[in-house]
Amino acid sequence: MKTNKPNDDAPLDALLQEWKVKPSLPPRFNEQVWRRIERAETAPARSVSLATVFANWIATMLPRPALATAYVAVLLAIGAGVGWSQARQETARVSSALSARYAQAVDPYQANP
Amino acid sequence: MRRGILILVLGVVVAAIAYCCFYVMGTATPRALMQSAQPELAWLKHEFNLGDAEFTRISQLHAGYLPQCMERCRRIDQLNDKLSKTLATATQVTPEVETLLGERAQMRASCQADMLKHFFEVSRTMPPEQGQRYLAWVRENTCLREQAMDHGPDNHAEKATRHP
Repeated sequence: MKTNKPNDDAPLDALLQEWKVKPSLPPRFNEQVWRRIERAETAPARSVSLATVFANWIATMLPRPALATAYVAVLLAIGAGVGWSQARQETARVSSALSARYAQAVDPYQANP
Repeated sequence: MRRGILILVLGVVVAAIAYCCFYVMGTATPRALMQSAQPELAWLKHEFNLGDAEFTRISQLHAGYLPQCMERCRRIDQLNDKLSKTLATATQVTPEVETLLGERAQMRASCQADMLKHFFEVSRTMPPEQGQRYLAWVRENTCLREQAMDHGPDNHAEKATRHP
């Protein structure tokens, strides 16, 4: 864009060249900036959800051969232990029921103690 | 990620299979006992480590004992009914009541003696050590183990003060 300046505007030009804008800062600007810096430094890191941690663990740690073997072995032991323990409880229950049945068969007074 | 999930699922599947295997193996004996023709006698065989010959003999003794036992129970029931009817109209201990009480007590004593004879006979059929175990078991688990006499806590306290 072309501007046509009149020749007698030279003093105004000089004045404009000297003009400097000095913006006024809000009160206690400096202090507020330092406070914000401090706050940012002391704020805790952004929390990561447990699901994300678990997913990351599955993706990165679990495929390691040693950990995968240990994980499968531990679950195998848990399954076997719980199965065996419940089997023992069931065996004891059936044994107790059958012994009571035998006692009642040979001793009718069992029904009327 | 996919490999990790596969391992995760594999662990759970392995645990489930291990549970089932150990449960099935561990309950094989009680399942066999329950599926036998006479589970209580099958229990006796298993509990006292009886051989087939001993078990057959004990099964015969058991089969011979039960009808006699039932007959005695029927007679005791008859005496109980008779005694109940007599007591319903009685106002004092009549000779008839005394006779019925005596007959019932005698019938019960005879029943218990026959029961004991059966237990001894069964124990003799077992190997000696198992026979002793069996007798100890029947002493603990049948009417041979009599309950202690008890008139309640107050009467016991009274008795204790009377007879220090």
